[in-house]
Amino acid sequence: MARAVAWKKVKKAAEGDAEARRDLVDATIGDLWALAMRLTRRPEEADDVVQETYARVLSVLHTLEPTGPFEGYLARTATNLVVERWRRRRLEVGLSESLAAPAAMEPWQSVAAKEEDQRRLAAVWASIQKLEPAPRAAVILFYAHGESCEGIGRILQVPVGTVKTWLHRSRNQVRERAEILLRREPAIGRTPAEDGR
Amino acid sequence: MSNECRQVDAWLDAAQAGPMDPALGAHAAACPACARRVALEHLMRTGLGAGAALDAARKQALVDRIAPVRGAEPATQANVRGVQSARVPLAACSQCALPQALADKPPVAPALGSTSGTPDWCKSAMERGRRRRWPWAAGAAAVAAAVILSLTIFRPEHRQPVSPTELFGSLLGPLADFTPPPTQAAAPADTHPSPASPLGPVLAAFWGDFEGPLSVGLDALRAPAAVAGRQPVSAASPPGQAPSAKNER
Repeated sequence: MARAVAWKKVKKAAEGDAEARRDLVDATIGDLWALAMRLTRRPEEADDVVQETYARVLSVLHTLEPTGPFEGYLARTATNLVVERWRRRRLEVGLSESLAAPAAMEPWQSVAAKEEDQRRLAAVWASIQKLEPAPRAAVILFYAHGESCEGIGRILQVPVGTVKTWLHRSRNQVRERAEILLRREPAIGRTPAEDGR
Repeated sequence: MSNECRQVDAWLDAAQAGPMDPALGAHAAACPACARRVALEHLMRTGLGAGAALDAARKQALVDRIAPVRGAEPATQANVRGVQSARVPLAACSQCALPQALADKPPVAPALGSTSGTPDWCKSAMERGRRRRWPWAAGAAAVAAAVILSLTIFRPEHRQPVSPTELFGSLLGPLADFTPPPTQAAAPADTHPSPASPLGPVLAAFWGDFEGPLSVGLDALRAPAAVAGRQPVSAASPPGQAPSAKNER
């Protein structure tokens, strides 16, 4: 996580200082894109989320209260954008479809050396996609982004107890679904070309 | 899993607030079911966040996309605020010349690969400009229609006072139509209803009920005049005579 942006710089950016705005974007865009990428799993979609997040936050800079880190506003805006997208298309993408047409290169394939780990991570991701939007965001923020329960509560604007409940239930749901998927589809996580070989 | 022990749930819940307890590792070494869950938890913590680093080329492309948002600033405006300073000047759009006040949406650069000459924010401002003109026009049309309708209905000739008797008479017809003379035999059934009583027997019955109270009221109105026209008894009697039988007793 990058160093927190000083609110003094945010105030200067809100007053129209172009240099401060540039610094603000440069200091935060890496973490914001990583969050968007972890939530969306697609680089192009992450780009769109980042762009829209900055468009929204930079337009209301003068209204932000320095009550927490500035990155929290960015994370909250980006997460809300992604959750809204999930809610819009939750019925459009089914589990079988996401398994049948995986991305050309999933992120974990670069780190999970063992094929078994890749299969398990693919099953975990497929199971996470079946969660409700808000618990799904909480799981990704906790496991993928390393956010604390308090931070997730601030981002999703829910109590910490709710976050812990979501994580507890979602963890069991993801584990059970992932085990079912691994039993049903031994070739999960592979591309169709690999299965044809 | 049937042979799964419940201790791992408590450990994993406790691990939500921090790192995993080392005791969980010791327990998992002796419990195969818990070992699988601990391994999955470890895999999720280490594997799900991978591959999310922003490379330099993509970062530059993104910054270029965000540049219209953060770069432009209308320094000539006196009331510069954060929102306005982020606007792209409207003069940059050759398709329209909307007033600055209509373009209050934060500008978003056209999507990559877009071939349209008009930015999306400008199209949006045009649409909102149209939307803003119509509500007051519709309201003005509604007010004008209401005025015309009221003038048509409440014309001066319609404001002449009409007595209740005339009103009900015009609606229900003369009362004689509903009360046949007792001496005459019952009239044959009217195959052609009178046009003076078009409202039917229900209102006729109502008018029959209304007739009595109305006549009493009219008599009460006429009573003072009748009393004034009659001489009092005491004034008509000669002096020394008892005015009434009560006094005689």
